[in-house]
Amino acid sequence: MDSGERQLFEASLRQAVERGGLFDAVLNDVGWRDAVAEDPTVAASVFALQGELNLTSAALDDVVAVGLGVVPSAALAVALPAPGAAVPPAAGDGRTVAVSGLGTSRMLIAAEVFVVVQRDRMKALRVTADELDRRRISGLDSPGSWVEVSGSVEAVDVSDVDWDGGIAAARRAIAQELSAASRAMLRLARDHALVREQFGKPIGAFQAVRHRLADCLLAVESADATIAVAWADPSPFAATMAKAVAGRSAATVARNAQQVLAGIGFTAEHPFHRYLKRTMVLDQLFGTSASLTEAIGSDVLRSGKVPAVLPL
Amino acid sequence: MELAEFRAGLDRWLDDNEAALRPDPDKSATLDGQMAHTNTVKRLAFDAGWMRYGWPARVGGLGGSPLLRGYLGEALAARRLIEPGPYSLTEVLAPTMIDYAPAQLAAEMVPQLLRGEETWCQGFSEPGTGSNLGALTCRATRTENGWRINGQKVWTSYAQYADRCVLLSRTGTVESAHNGITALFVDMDSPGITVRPLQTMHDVAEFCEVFFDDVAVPADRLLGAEGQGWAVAMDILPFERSTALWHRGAYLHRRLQDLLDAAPDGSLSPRDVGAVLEQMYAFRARSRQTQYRLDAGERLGPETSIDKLMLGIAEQSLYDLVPAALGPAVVSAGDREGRAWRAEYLYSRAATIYGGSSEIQRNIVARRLLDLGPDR
Repeated sequence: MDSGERQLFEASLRQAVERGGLFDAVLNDVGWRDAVAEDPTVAASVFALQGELNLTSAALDDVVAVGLGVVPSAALAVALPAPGAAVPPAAGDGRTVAVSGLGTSRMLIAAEVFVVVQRDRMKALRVTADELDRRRISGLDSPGSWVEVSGSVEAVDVSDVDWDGGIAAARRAIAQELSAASRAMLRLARDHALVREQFGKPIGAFQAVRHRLADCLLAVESADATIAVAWADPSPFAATMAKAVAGRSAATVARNAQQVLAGIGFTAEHPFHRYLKRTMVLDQLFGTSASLTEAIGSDVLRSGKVPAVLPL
Repeated sequence: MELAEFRAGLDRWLDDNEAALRPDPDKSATLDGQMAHTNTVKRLAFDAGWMRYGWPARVGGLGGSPLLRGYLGEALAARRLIEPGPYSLTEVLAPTMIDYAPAQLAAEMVPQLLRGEETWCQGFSEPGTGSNLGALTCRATRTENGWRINGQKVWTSYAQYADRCVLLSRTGTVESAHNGITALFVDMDSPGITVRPLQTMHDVAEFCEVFFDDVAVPADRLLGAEGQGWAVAMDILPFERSTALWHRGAYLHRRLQDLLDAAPDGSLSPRDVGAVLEQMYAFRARSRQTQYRLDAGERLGPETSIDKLMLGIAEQSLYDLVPAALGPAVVSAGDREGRAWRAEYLYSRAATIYGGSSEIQRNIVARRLLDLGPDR
């Protein structure tokens, strides 16, 4: 897509969301799967909107499928690593392998599930969805967004798969959603600081509040700069950096925005908590910011080499 | 010339001329030696053409994108052929002269700066005005032939070496604040100027007090118009936060590698190293966008405060690793490397103070980028 087509795509997506309806249905209507299969960077638009408006969808299945080298389909769910993990949801060299992972809401309605198995080389198989136990998770995030998937399946017809490509695709998309959600939290706090008055003036006039908000923007802009690199450079390293920085930035923004929003931001009726919870969940997917940071540092210390800098 | 061609040609030239460009370790242990060597490198690079790219022909340049200047400073800093502080001052002062000096003055002066024949300084801060630049009081009074300056500047980096000074002076009333400031280009050998170097805590006379006692400045040394000094200053600051920061970022990457090479096994934690690398990477990603905006001819503004904040954080996090990894050397080593790490660690404490403190940068972010309205 060129930038004109991209703008058109984003505008039609936003209009459709504003008309109402499930985000998955909207994505279907705009031909999202064909678009991302042709140009993976289209995911930037979808995950930015998803993060900004606190939407949920099964778009992550499609992104990971494309990254793994598989044609995405509404009938194909992808078994994702369990929360906190960045390893495939299945392992083992035997004829049967144990699956334990996570799915989006698509896991409940898909006909087929794509499972990556950790072996000497990464392998993949497709199983009928009925062969797996699938349970909605009642966790932190909005109900119905995530599904726990487990079971034992026959490892027949395994094929090679680009696991690193799948992980990188997921990290880029999740980083984008994290940053958009962070910007939304900042907007909530900033707008609140302009209207909430204490001591006869808006709290946004106080330097203590202003500097917290400035730190939020600093965090979001740091994330966006690394994410922009990751969309332009398909390397796993760029995607890992983007996810690590975006996860850390989201925590910074959440902490400061929460404090600025104070009491009202602690209520269930205020939208802030939905963003906070969503970013906490996203940080758990495909490697937490803490674990990625440690892995990046370990690689550097093991090799004794600072990775080559981004060239001008 | 395109960036790729420039990069390849410059890299080759740097390889071929390593011996002439490499600072003598003994001499470069002092600021005198560093200043002299920086000018030597500038002269060699100018004569070979590299230093002239990215600058317009009317000031002795060969044209081309400012990206070329970005890469030149990056390559010199990453190879440790220059000190980024004195070197990158060119990036701050030359654009001001090009934009605001009378054409003839710019054509005469800028080439001497680029070629390292002269060192210039920036007379902004005063004892009473650090962050609050708009309250400066160093006065310029009109005379028959120009201006007469009385007052004091402080934190003026490298003033003891400087041949010229881009000076902000008060020409209106103090109440006129930002509207009563005028920028002048002053010869540092003018009668009435006294420079007193200040010893810093890292044991370098990096900056100075500069006293002006009835200093005469000719009329043709006006930069911009009378009363336009604030605009001149505001246009300088984004340059300070673009190309110059890019150079410094490249230097920090090199120093992280040097630290890894010097640190005993097990002295650095993976988490700390990962966090520093992320900050430096994020800074570089951000600053890279800024270089390309400069290349596209965009006017840089308050958004460069984000770049400055990011670099301050990255620089201090990097040097925070130094006492952890090289503690004994930092506190007690008398050798050259130990002294260098000690000085750089101490100097890094100023990264959130100089060039507009982090508090001022956050004020700018809040006011200009988040549109939070007045802060009082």
